[in-house]
Amino acid sequence: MGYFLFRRTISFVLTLLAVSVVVFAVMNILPGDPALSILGLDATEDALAALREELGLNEPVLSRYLAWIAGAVQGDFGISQSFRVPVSELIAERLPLTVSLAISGMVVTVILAVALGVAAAANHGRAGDWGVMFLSQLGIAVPAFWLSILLVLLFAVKLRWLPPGGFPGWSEPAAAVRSLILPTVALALVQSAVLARVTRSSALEVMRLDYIRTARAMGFSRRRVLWRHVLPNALIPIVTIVGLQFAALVTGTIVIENVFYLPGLGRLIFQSIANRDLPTVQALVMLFAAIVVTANFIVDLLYLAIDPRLKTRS
Amino acid sequence: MIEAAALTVDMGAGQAVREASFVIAPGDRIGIVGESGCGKTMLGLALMGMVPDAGHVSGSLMIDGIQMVGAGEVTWQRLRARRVAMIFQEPMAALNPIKRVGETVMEPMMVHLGLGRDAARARALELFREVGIPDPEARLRQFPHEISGGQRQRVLIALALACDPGVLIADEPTTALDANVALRVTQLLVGLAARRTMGLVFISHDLAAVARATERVMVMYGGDIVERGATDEVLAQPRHPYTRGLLSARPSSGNMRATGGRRGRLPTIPGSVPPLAELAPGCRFAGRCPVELKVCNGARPPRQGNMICHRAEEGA
Repeated sequence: MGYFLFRRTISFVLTLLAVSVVVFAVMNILPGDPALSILGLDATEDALAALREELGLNEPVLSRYLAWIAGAVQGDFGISQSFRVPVSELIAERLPLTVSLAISGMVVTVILAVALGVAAAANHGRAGDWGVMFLSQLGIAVPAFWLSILLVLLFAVKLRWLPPGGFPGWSEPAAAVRSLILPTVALALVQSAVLARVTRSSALEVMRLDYIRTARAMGFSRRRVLWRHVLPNALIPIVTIVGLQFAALVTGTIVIENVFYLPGLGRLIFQSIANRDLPTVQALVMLFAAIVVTANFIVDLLYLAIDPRLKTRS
Repeated sequence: MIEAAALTVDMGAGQAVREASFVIAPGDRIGIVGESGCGKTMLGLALMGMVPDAGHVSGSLMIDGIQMVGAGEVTWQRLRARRVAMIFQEPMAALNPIKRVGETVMEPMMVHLGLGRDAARARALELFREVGIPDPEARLRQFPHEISGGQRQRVLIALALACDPGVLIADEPTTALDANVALRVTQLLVGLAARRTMGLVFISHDLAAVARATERVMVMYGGDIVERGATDEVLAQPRHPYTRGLLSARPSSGNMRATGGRRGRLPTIPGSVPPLAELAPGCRFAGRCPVELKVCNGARPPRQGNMICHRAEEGA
């Protein structure tokens, strides 16, 4: 167990290091002059040169990379070129919104998908099963941004139950939560369509096994067999997909925040890319990568918690 | 107390069990023998109400005075574990791999008997001792993959005994175990049946194990109970051609003598058990029977005394 944690921590750091190299290289190879995009097309050659010097763009790539890493380790990602404030401040302001959105999206996804998937497996081959399979097929086929627009048209424009977009800030908790409902649903519906299918097939596979017959032979109710014996044993594939989906949800916030005008990281990364705001984009991509790698790390820990057989093997 | 009369399991393609009638009283030890696919397991499952969805059960099955043919799932749930319990062939696969074996054994006591955790744990410990699990305290906390096949079968027996059932159905309980362990598990089951005056249904194709474990035996072929009687009599003087085939197909000193003491091939019953849909409408054994009459394939043989055979009156 200790060895496992040690190995995972090393690979966590190495992955982030690899990501940092790729991010830095890509951002520096891409065509486009940050100085030019900051000052505009009318800028004089002297002003551009001065700004390039100020931004450190004339330094060799390697020393720029090392300086960036040294800062990043201390939480200093430089000054945003378009917002003119430290990148870390920009991120700190917007992180809570995106994290709330991703987590609430994930929670709704898991609850919806596991309930539907287990119900489908329990009614295998009957109407309930076909209904869930049909809905999930529909959910997989529909793109999240399009679903968002439909949700806005129905619940915000037509029924006027929920705001169509925007975010009032955390100082008004009730309004803040209300404004997150539609984005959460838009994120969760598509993801839960996939996860419900995984849950169903994993549960069906477990239901055929001998120890489920043993549980039935002990006179347990169908519900007990399903939730206490089938589901826990069906969790490994479910958790695997949840880990991948969490990554998809975090990146999915880029689209959803833009559709719903939410001031989160997704919108920030969109704007910074448009503005060629190198320090901000680099910091955000690193942050997203760190979130994804952390999610995978948690998934690995969950495997151990779910299946005691893995502990003896690892 | 189980009383079956003309109990039939129809799988659609054919009858996996055809008009089985028998009584299992407290303390009875009954063996069911036959090749794979003869309906032994299906008969066991029928006694648990666990016939697959495609199967249709008819006839009469009284368990402790309640008619269970046509009973709903919830009625069966009240009987399972408490009146009739069953252990299955593969101890490796029959235990929930992510639960500690102690928890597995405690669960039915907490669910059915309303015991608290401590009481259930104490009972589980007692049961582990009763079924001869060494160092039971430590075993309670282990997972199935951490203990041997023989130990797992003992855990499954402890689980089956958790709610003190009147009848225990053991489906090939020793087939997956090596001979030494199998012998001890068989002895354990016999001892438990005697001590608890519990009915034991011992399903096996291992005739030696059946001889040790049971007082009465039913020989099944193609869903029919073709011969029955006291175990020692049936095994010593088989009358039905199928039983004779079964007995001659096992290694014994008699076989060796027949081949003049040389290493010879064991006799076999020619052919194999046909799938349900292809079973002969008359005598199920027609086509493989060495002493077949013209009538055998067409008409169902009469039940005469302890066997179902057209040649019963001639003593086959």
